[in-house]
Amino acid sequence: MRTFPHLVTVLSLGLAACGDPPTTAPADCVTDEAFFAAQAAPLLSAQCVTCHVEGGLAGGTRHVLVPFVDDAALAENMARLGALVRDTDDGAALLLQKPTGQVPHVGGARFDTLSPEYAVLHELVARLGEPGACEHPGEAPPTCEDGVIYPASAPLRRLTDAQVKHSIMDLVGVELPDGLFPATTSGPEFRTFANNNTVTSAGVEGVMLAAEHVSATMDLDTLWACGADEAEADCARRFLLDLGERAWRRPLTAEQAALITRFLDAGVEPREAAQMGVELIFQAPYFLYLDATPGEAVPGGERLDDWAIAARLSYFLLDTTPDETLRAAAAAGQLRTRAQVAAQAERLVSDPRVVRAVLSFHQDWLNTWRLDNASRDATLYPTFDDETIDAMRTELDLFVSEVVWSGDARFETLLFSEWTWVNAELAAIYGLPDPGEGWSRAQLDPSLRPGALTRLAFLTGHGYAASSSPVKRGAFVLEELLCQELAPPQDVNMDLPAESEDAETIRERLQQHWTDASCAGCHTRIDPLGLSMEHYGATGEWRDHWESGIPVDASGTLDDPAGSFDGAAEMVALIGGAERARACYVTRWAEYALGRAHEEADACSLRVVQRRFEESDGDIRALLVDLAVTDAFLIRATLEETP
Amino acid sequence: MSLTRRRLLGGGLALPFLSPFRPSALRAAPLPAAAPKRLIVVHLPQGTVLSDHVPTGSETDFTLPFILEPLAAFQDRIITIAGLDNLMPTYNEVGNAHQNANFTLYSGRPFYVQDSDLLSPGGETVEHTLARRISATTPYLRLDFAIGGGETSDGIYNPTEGAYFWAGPNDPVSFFNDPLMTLLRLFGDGSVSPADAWAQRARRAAVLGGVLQSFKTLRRGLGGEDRARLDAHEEKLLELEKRVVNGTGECSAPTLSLPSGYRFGQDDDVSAPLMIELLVTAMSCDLTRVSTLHFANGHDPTFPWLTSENGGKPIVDTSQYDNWHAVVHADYQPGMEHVYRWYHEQLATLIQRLHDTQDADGDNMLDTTCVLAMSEFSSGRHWNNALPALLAGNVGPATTGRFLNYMNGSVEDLEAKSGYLNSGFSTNQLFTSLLRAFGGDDAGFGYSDETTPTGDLPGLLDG
Repeated sequence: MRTFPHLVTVLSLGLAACGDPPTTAPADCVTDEAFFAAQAAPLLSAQCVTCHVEGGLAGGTRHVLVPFVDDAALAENMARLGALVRDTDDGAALLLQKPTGQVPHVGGARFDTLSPEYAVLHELVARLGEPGACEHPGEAPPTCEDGVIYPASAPLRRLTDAQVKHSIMDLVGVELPDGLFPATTSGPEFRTFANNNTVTSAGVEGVMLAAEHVSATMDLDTLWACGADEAEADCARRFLLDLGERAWRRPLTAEQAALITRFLDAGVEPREAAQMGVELIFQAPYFLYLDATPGEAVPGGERLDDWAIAARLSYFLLDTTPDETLRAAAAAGQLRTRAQVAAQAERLVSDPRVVRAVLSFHQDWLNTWRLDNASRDATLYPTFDDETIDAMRTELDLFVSEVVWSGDARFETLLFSEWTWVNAELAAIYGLPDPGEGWSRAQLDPSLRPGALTRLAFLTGHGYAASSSPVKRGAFVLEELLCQELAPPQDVNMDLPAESEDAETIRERLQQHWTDASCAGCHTRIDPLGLSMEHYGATGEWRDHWESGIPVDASGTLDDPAGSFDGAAEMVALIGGAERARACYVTRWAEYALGRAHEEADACSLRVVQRRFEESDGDIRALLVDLAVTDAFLIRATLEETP
Repeated sequence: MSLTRRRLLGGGLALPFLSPFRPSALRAAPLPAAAPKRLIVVHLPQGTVLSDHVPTGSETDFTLPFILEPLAAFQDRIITIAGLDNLMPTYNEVGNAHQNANFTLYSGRPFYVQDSDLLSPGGETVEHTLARRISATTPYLRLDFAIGGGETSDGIYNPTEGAYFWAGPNDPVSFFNDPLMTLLRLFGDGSVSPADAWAQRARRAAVLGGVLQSFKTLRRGLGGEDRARLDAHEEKLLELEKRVVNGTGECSAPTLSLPSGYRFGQDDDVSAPLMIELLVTAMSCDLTRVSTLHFANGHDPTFPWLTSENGGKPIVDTSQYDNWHAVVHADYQPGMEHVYRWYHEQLATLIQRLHDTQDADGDNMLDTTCVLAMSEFSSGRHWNNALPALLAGNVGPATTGRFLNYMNGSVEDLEAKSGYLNSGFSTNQLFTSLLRAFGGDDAGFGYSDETTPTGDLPGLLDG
């Protein structure tokens, strides 16, 4: 790292000459100016000034520096950054979040929150916010020392529609039909996120109707198993209290017990009271929401109690309410140590129902929501209809479950496997022989069809009615395989230059907008990645030529990870071989598991799991167990109680 | 006598003691004589073609252009407005152009937090403010209808990027978009006898009372966002409980006929009249005083029913454009105007239905309803300036049959500046006027600072 020793001297002398009040700072005090010159300036010079300079790519943002050419520049930059930190609401936060990719940054993620660069930046922001300190004021960023806990948030979130269905089946044996419980929103974020499970006005009635359906169709005689010599009221009470404890996932307080049995206590006929109690149980927040009970205090946060951990484990891995074994472990206080939690997680990962979570994750990760309303040009794709889309979804599910459940569960296999599953229609798209009725396992050419990114659901979802979408496909690789958040264009003209004599192919049309600086920042990285998948048309079919008859050119290069490629197989090999892609996959799984976007306090947890994922050679099932024992999963920041 | 939780639980549960009518004491306080009784907001997504949308002529003597022509029969019942700026996107740091426009338009505020993982407007949208004022005693605080928007298992559309209407931060409104499911939810299937319906209501009220009680015990120990989330859920439950307790009154279900092969997620030409019928019927029975009607297929529709209008050429030529969104993104493309005109044909159908229908008090619905129709853009090129808006029916003290032009120069001037030409008049001023038209004394609506125009929209209510 370059330093600026001469500047330190000059600045120190300059300060001393200013006639400020006599300083009481200790002799070894590192002044803000000294810190800035010695540590911050080299970092800013190397990482920021290229773009954040007048006329640079980020010259139009609030964060514009001058090149570090002399002492005046040093002082000027320090003043500018100080103003940004102190005078703007979010200046400090953005200075930390942008270069670490926690919020979209056109310049990409420059370094992570555990890097030495981040520690410098963190100190810089703290110092600028509170000038005059000798040392790093405020809290230090995570360093991931053993025994130090960095509690992160655990937002209250409602169960997904599928989790509710599975739970109701497991608790009372009722298969909840579609059309009652409000559907979880499908979109770019994981289905487990709180904002995809908001209860709206129309939705709250659906919750009620679902609960009424359960109470009306459950087999009460079997469920309450009322002995011939038992009073029905006693059976109803026993049944309700037991169901309440299982559905609300922890022992009932006296108050909760009274709530569940209130109809019985009010003299309602036992059978009716049991039904009404069931309706109450399934509409109550104790059933509908995860993570609402305070836990045991630890420094800066609280450790979820055994019952909350049992619920988290079960909904994360099996997509349903905790089973008897988990409940017994929670009741016995045996979800306290990491070893205990890991043992349970290993058990759950061996349960075939783990496939539900595995499929949910990969559907969301690979954006199958983009297929929801997909249609194709009837002239070009006359047989494409809703059944085609359903078949593509099924193919992806079969592919993923084969890799993760019956296969070796390795990340590499997910990205490179040449195996898939087809019915007659999909076989035709792949150019395979007609397999006859039903679904058959099929082998593809690994140099043409490597893994999930060349399966039809992904390619069709990231395509248009009559054409491929190299932009959507390339953006997926950057955002979801490399965790490079892209800043969405705001006020820029996003129109692709039209087809013309100069630009007959999509490649040439895209290249035209690389000359526009506001586009180039992202598109010189997005487009080559997407163009590498140009051998696949709008429904994922192979093609050697573009629509205009020109042979497809699927070659490109990327700066980070650095390399060149021609076609999807080489692109996937470059990306998939990068440690960053495996780390990103871990991050996305953590987000699915935690039901929220990752945040700074997750960094140490993620680093541990990412390292273990490397050591296990990308074992996805081991990854699920490792995630379940992280601080991020077991500990959360203290809830701020508002009166 | 109305059913209360206390009565139900304390009274040994003698179930059928409900009153079939809502007590008149619960009716809203009377509005000023001129004020409309109800509001319908019609959202028309993805901008327009301004050159075919802005009338020519003077305030009171004007000619409706191609897109607004379908409203000619009601020219004296509408106020067409041109040139309003939504200034709020400029205050945001994150989000794409659609989220910036869609989440800020009716909320009149920048995002709640500038965090791309938590995009949400800074407050409730304007029709929700009005719903709380004028619709709190009707069975539904509000009813929301979408045309299209994808087919979910429960017939309820939860928008993501296309969320225009919000009950508060992180609390987006969802929409009925399956006509059959809407019919069932709002009007029942007639299978429950009146006596059973009473028993069902009493029982539901009792259960919901218990559910609400469970919210109170859980909320202990929760803070911030979590508590807000739970509060929002509880608010919806209270509304449901009230509806169950008070009943929804008598309301004859409309008869819907659906063509075979109909798909409510895509066939907007079929869905639009059906949803309008459901909306008008529901409001005529006073199920609610505030509704929205939202054309939810803003991205991928191909409008095959407009091909003949467009001289046999498809509106979305997929050999040239990826989808409708890409068409509106481009500079003017021949055929676009047919879509915007079609939206206004549906608006005319709505106005006609209001005109032909009496409400529960025997008043003409158009005479007593304020309709607001607008888009989030003035052009699909993400222009937040110079938005057109249209008011119809009863606009309080405002005289209808007018064209109010707030534009700063001509459409050509706007084009020359790629949409960056502020008029100095804002959508928040329009919403302030809207609140005042309903009798409010609002000084403003949404976010304001020293750079934003304040107060109501000059010339609207006093003209």
